[in-house]
Amino acid sequence: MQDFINNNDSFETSLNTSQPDPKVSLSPDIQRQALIGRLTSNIVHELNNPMQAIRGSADLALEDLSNTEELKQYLKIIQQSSDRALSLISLVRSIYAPEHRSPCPIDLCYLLQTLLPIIKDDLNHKAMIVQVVPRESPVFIWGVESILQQSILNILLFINQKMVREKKRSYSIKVDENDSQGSICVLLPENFSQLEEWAHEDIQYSKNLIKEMRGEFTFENQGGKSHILLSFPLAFPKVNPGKKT
Amino acid sequence: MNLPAILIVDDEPDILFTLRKCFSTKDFRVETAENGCEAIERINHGSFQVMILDLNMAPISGLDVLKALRKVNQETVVIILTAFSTLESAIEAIHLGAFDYLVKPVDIAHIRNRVTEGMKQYERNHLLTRQ
Repeated sequence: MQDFINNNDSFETSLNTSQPDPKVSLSPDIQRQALIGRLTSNIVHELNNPMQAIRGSADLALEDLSNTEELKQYLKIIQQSSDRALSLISLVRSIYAPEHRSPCPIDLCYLLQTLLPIIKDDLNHKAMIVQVVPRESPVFIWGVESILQQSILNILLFINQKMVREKKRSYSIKVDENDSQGSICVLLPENFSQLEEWAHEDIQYSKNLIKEMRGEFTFENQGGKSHILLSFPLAFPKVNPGKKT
Repeated sequence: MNLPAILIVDDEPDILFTLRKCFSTKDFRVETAENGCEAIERINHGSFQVMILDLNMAPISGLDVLKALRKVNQETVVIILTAFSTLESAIEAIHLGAFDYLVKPVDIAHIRNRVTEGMKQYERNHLLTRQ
């Protein structure tokens, strides 16, 4: 009997070793494709909304071409919704076939505002709520939009998945800045000491992208709560008058 | 004269705008709601013949709005208009008495047609309740 147990143990051990080692990094290509897979359902949903606005406005515009003022409103909706649909298509294309793009100033508040609708389907499906702490002034950082989009979306999808597993239904996001860096801070509802370990594999792709833009990914446990901080160099660093250069 | 009332619920302002325009004629009274909470408030304070309802909204989903409606009103005809259809949501909507389930994008003529049919269905529902 003892032998059998030992044999069984060794069998289990051999099974475990056949599982993927969490410390072994997946290739960037596989991680990129996994992100496209995770985003697909969200993007399909999000594309149908601007398409409905385009379709409805075009139908109404064609019904009454004589009313110039209304026509202008319909055309404006068509234009804005087409831009929204095109930016979604361009996001998928940029993940699938990344092109070299030069960094430029990007407002983190605006970026976040455009990214949250993309994960709306994921949030609603998981019955989760994300609260964005309001901020009046923009925070311009130096980066490449498509790279920022990918890294942040990947992190948010990862957090959604983990929160649901922990039976948590909400978290908040804050955009902030100091003299040299702009940041997105994800404030989790309690202390998730294991999150860093979980994040090791799942968001390695995002971490690499953030590093590519001279940004930093940090994980902190403070006051019984966990924070994920994504910091990037400010596009227009603040000049400190008291500091002699 | 009491005009037939339509409640349009969608969290997309552009869609809400086009649907409101689509039914803003002398034949209907149109009200809109940008989220589930607002929709439930309107349901509790008014009566509607037809409701066009988006499903994917937060924090109160379209299905939750439909459940809330059915607690107070069995007659209102509900047309689901969703960007992301799933078999589960379609089945649940039908169980809750939805009249139709449309997947965006839908042309305006088709929505108008379904609303006209919905108005007729409302009359039938109304007669049945009275009997």
